[in-house]
Amino acid sequence: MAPSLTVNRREVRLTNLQRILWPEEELTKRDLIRYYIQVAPYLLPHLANRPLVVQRFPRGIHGEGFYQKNIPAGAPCWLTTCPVSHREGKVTRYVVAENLETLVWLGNQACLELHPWLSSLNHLERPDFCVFDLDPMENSTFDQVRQVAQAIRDTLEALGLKSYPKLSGATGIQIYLPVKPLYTYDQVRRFAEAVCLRVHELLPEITSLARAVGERGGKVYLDYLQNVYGKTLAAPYSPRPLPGAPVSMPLDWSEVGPGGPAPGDFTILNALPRLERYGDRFAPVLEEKQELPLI
Amino acid sequence: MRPLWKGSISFGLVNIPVRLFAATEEKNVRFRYLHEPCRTPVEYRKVCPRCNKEISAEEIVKGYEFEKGRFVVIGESDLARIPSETTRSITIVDFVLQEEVDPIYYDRAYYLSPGEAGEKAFQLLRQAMEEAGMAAVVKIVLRTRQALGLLRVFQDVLALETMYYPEEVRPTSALPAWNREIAIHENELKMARELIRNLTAPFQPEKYTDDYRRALLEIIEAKIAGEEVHIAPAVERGEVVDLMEALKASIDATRREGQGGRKGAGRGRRKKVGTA
Repeated sequence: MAPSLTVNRREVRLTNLQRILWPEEELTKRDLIRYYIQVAPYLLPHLANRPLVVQRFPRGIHGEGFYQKNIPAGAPCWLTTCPVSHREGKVTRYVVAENLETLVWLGNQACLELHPWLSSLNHLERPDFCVFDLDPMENSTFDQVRQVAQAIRDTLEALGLKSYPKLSGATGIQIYLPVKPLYTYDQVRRFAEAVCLRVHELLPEITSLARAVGERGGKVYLDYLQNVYGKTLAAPYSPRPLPGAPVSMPLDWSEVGPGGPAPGDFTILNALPRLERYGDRFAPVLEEKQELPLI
Repeated sequence: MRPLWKGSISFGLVNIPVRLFAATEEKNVRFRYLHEPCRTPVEYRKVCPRCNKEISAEEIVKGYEFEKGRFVVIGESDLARIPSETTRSITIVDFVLQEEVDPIYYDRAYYLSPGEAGEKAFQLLRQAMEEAGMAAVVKIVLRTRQALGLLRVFQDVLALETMYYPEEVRPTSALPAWNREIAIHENELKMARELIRNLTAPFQPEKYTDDYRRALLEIIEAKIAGEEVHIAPAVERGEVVDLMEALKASIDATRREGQGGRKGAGRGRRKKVGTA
């Protein structure tokens, strides 16, 4: 009989705990579930009340991975789900991760990456984050990514807006601007585009707005096109399917500079002491919602 | 239905991409064994009687017992040396009349449907076989075993029956002997023929049902309805001790956060935003 874990009086069956997910470090599904349990107090507020897309790697990070939107057959009946209808009349039943038992279950499903929506269930059409996804291309350094991030922060600050940076967990930095759910995805995207155009004017040598990878000239790509209905970024504290088992880690702006934390610094093994010390640096993105200036 | 595998039918110089599906499924009622006094599902563990301990999958190898108590170990590398040019392919060897193949050879049934870009070639083969009234003897690889099969037209698809090799079919001469030389009276034979004629009907598979299974399911339903149900007690497992400890720490941390921690701070900040 497979072992199980009773979480909040619900029994979650755990299977193949020894399955290796990150072969380079020999980290197993047990390590992933342990991380989810430990990080839950910090992670769950960022997943609650939002449709969740997960990326599953049943055979480890070098095996085939797939995005899962619909909850799979055989999912426990106590999962919170939300149906979302699409234009073609299809209905997708998303999981909503609002408690520890759901997180443990997701871990057992080898969900290595958690992608909550940018809008909450109360108003799916109106995002409450505007996001900037900064991805360095082959000719850019991480210092340049930091420089671009600071330029975005400054541009937003000049408009009276506070933004919050995090390491994506892969190669870049993602900046969250919490907004009141008053705007459509289109409006938020147009605002993000305007900010990115301004930053590109300030730093034309190291940034690119080109959508085609070949035209980016190896520069830091200013991606504002993530602000689209149904599009998602990896959640803060979400693990990533990369060697080293890195996680997406919120930073303080004082850490975004030379010598500060770099991609790969935070992993499922070392994230917790930092969280215990600083708490959830991304808590304000859920609470300090701002109005966008009319531009 | 999900395909068991994708491969191709090799027919002369032509390869027809196909997908293979199981055509049949057993509907047996499955039981699990419980330990009678506590009603816990019985577990099967692999134990080495010499080392007297449970062993994991990594510690197990395949051995061929060539004489009692003597083994040769066959590893993956040995199996890899077996030429397997027919891997995932169904090679047509001969075309035969289906009636010539005795059903005793049939093992399992599969359906074939065309794979990507194989619709035309598939349809061509199916139609030609149907018009010729022929079935094909094929060699196939199912899992690691090379098997014999019969490919035939079934409704608007192709069906594949895996077949036993002749050496796998036991000869009737191996049955215990009995007197086969009994004389039968013509009148007796006449009566038997009459009986056959009276019971002759077209074959209608729908009319045969598994009465035993139905009766069994009724008993199970009644027991569930009458709540004569045994719930397997939770088993304390050493395997998840570390996770249980992490769980306890995490729940404590959540409580701490809940009292005066982050939530309190959040409320304060929200007030500030409101008055600004």
